[in-house]
Amino acid sequence: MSIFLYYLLFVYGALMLVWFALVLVALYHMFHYGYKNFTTFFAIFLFLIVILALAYYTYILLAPVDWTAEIKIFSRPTSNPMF
Amino acid sequence: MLSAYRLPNFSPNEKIIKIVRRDLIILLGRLLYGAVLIVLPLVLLALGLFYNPAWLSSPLIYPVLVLSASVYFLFIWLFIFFQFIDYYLDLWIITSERIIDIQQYGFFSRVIAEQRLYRIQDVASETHGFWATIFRYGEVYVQTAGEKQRFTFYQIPNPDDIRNTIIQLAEISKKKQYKIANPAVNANLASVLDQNL
Repeated sequence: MSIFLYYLLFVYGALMLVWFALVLVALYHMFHYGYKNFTTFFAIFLFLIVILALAYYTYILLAPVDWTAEIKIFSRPTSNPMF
Repeated sequence: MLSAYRLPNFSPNEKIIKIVRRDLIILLGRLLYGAVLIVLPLVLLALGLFYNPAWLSSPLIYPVLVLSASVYFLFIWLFIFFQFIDYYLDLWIITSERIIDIQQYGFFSRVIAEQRLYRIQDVASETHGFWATIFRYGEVYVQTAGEKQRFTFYQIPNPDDIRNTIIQLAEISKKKQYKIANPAVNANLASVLDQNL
């Protein structure tokens, strides 16, 4: 059996959707209930900056990957005489 | 967002005396837990790559590693941010008229309770445990005559000072209420009562 590598991106995308929903919840709480002061704005700023950094480095590390490659999984071993 | 001067039911003569949050050491403890969750997988990943450098050139393992690490660290960062939100949005506000208890429970639960200072009957402070004693944080229990009979300040810094502040403010508020309720009391009697109170 073989799968294309970009199937992994679908799984990643589904997890990111869940994550993004939780991020919106977190930002809503801070904007709606947080005090209007430097700490609140700095915390939100730091939170978003780190997210952007993680997203950027993820992109940089995955850029050279050939997502159209086919990967064989559960392949039958050819060296075993019993098969 | 809440402005410091736009509290619910804020009256013009009301002044904010103190805004109290949990002690900073509580937040640092939670952040330390998050830091461990970040550092530990990095160490394991480094060890794995050290003993298996072929992972970096594998067409399957490398993207799986990167995607897994991306998901993991994004969720951990979000978890750390939620820890901060849980710490930051829980607060107690002591004003010249009342105490307000604002507590965030989870994502979609928020409780705000307030009590007038003149209804306070008893205030007690407690400090238990090694770390609480070293870093001087603890609980303050405020017994009131209202519907919510007990207000609790959890893990706040210098609970003894907060207790003293609330007691003093409660006494002042009770005097004011007594004068409001008894305007016909003559000036001499009022000053005698002031001294005794």
